[in-house]
Amino acid sequence: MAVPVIESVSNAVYVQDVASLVITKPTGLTAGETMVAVIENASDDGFGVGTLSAPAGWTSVIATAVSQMQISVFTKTADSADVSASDFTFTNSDTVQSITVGSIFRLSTSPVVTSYLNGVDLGLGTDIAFADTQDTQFVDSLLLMVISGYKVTSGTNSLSTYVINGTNPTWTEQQDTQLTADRRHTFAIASAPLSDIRTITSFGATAASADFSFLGVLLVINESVGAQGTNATFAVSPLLSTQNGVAGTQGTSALLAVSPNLPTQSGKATSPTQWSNENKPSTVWTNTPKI
Amino acid sequence: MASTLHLKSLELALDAVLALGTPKLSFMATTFTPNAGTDQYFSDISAEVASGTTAVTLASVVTTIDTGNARVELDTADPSLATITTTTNKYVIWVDTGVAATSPVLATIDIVEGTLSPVAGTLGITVNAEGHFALKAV
Repeated sequence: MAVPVIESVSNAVYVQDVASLVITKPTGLTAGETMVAVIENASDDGFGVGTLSAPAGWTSVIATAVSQMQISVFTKTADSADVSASDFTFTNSDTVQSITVGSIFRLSTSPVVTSYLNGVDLGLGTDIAFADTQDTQFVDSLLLMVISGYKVTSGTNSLSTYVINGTNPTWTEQQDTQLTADRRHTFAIASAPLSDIRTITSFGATAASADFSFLGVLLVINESVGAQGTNATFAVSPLLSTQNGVAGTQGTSALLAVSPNLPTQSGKATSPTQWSNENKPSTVWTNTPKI
Repeated sequence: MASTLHLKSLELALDAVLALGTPKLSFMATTFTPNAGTDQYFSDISAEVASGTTAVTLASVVTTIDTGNARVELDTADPSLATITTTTNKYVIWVDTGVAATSPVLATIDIVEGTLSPVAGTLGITVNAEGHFALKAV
């Protein structure tokens, strides 16, 4: 997984007391790339900030506010219409003493915001520190730190030395703009690659001037990665155990061998006289004359 | 002469279980260890579904008698979830009756590739040509 790359960024300047903030399309935008819009809207009339709306198709990631400032983050996967567009218009429902400013980042190839932190520093010091806790989930993240500041009285400010807890990655400032005179606002964005997975518990920067209240958002952005798995067919063999059949009461019999009583028999056998004919000689009788 | 179960009855039995509700697939956390004896209903395992995922309604669910291998196979269309960030290494096939406590769990199947970790991407399974699992007759 690689750290998402900021291919280009389009920064709009502050607009005041109007409903529309128009941000030029980032250069080189192609379909499928991720756009991340970071907008601040603020109000100086003491009645809170207005509602910020993105163009159709943008997804809100976070909208966090304190006092007179609000930071909103939107994302969108660029389509052909976006590629054809020249700019994108965000609207602020508050047009009375309102200010709006923002930037659109073009990221390749199609990363997503996987988590974020946000915090408030009302300490009015120059060491800006926001406390929030978030576990980064994946290696090679792109961090985008957004800080807006407001001062009650006149003054200017600019930010530098962006930090997170632990080994600090190398930050690149992407935006640092201020409204001066009676509109004492500052808006800064910085980015850094984070190669490791860690628990982020604080982020911040150094302000050139004190007496500002600050609102901060830290986005964690990672490449979108799909995953396709397979299975091995799990074949379950049956257990066909031998069965001993027993049906009712099974009697057995032993062959009764009965020996017969065979009394001896006295046998008497006579033999008949075997007569045999003898040949009787024949007598030849002669007649004697009678006297 | 070898003892055997009869394939058609196995198929009918499996069909009867599938007919209890809607067959579904849930990707499970890597820490999930299936218990063949106690994991009876989806309510028994729902707490260990992989975070960030939802149940996938299985399509083209079919039970097939494979006479050559003497078994009944369960096959479905390849399931997938879009725009998912999670970590998983196995999935469960179960039948959704509408009530988790009465939805039977049929099988836990390991993902061959091991742990998958999509980041806002598509998580999918290319189902084996022989299906998810088979009940053998011998």
